[in-house]
Amino acid sequence: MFGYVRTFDSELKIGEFRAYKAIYCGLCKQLGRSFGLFARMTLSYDFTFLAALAMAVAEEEPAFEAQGCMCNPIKKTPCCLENKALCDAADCAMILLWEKLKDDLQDSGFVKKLGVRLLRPFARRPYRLAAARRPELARMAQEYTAAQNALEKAGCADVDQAAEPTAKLLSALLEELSRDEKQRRVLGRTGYLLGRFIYLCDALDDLEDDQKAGGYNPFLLRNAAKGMTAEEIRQDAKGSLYLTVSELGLCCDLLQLQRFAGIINNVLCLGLKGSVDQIMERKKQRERKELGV
Amino acid sequence: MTDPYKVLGVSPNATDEQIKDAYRALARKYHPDNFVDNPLSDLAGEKMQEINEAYDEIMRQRRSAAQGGPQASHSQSGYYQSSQFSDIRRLINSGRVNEAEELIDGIPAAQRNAEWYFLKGSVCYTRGWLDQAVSNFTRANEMDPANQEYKAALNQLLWQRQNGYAQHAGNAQNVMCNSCCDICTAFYCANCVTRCCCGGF
Repeated sequence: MFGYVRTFDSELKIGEFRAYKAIYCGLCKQLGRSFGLFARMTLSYDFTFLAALAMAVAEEEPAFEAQGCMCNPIKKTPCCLENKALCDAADCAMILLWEKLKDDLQDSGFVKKLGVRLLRPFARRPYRLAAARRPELARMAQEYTAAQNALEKAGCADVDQAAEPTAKLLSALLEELSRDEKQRRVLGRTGYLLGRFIYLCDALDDLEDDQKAGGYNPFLLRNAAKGMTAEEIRQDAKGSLYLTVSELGLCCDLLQLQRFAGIINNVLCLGLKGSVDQIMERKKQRERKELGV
Repeated sequence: MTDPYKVLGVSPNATDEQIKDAYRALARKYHPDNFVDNPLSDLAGEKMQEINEAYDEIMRQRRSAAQGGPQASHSQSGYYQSSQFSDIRRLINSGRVNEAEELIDGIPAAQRNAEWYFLKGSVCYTRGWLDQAVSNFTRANEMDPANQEYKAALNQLLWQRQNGYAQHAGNAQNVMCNSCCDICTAFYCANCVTRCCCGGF
């Protein structure tokens, strides 16, 4: 959705890094197979992780093969071959993309709206195909957007509540990855916390923009009456994100992974925290630049 | 039973010292202190039991003499201090959060004491409402600063807010000092101490 769910590359083993890249390539090709060229351009780390997690908990062993790619036609690289996890992740990506575009159309500025209007026709057919295969998910995603809009319209100042729709959507999405009752409980909480993380991470990322443009942001609203500086609000938001990430670390220990444990652990315990740190660092640098000039 | 060496993630050729290290690392990871109020605490408990059994099994096998060894029974009792809201605590401990929350919210504002805020925080935490959990635990601590249970819950979350990863229970001695108020924890500590320090020999 936003690319916050990623690996912490420097701590990955070479083999894990290759497997992760192969899943990334596999998902890209799957998007092409299922939906065509436009869909391939929406490839993101978030859904690569979803595919990796689905494969990690599945019984079925994923297959890999060295394949060429139009981006790099000379060199063949390992690529994950078509399987259920990739198909599902691709469908999911298209359904959520459609909802995101719908959401952007409502609450963004003129220029962005224009861009979204141009993109929408390309996303419509993939959405219809995916929604036909996953009607339940399409319905949930619609409800999630509606619930999110209602909260934002009401000016919800409670961070937990604001994150709830995304959290619940991902909770349901991850629960579906397993049939084992215990595993489903762990996946459910992992999904809840991951959705919460993604939503709050986006809120942290948009903090300054929302402040300038007067957009909805739960962290701004929570601290509205306290007279805090921008840096203090950022630190407060970072605390909420760190708390969420550390809870994910606990869930991660309880997942029964058949394979890719190194990748899953890397993302949940290090990668997510890395995303938060990266955003914080970027904001600090931007601020320094503004002061310097 | 599954291969005890596999459970601890060690080779059957590993030395006793390596096995002890692996056992210690896993016991820290799944220690009940890390999962207080966590809706998945029972799974962590199962995992802990599996690890304990695997360690016992290996040690039993290695002792070759077929004696039972010091095997304590696993008691799974929760809180034992006096509580005004024992029914609510029971519901939370058995994972019935919705019912617990209904009871909690039904308590009139005048009767909401420190324990009420602590339990409200526990329900929020279980739901994944982490920020509200922090503010409720904070309130509980303000109202009853002497209570170790409330303090431990708040400190754990504040530490996570600060550091971005959960504080593993630390070494056995440490745990011993931190929270003796919980029978379950105390049992595990005793278990760790006997295993780690005396190695079951």
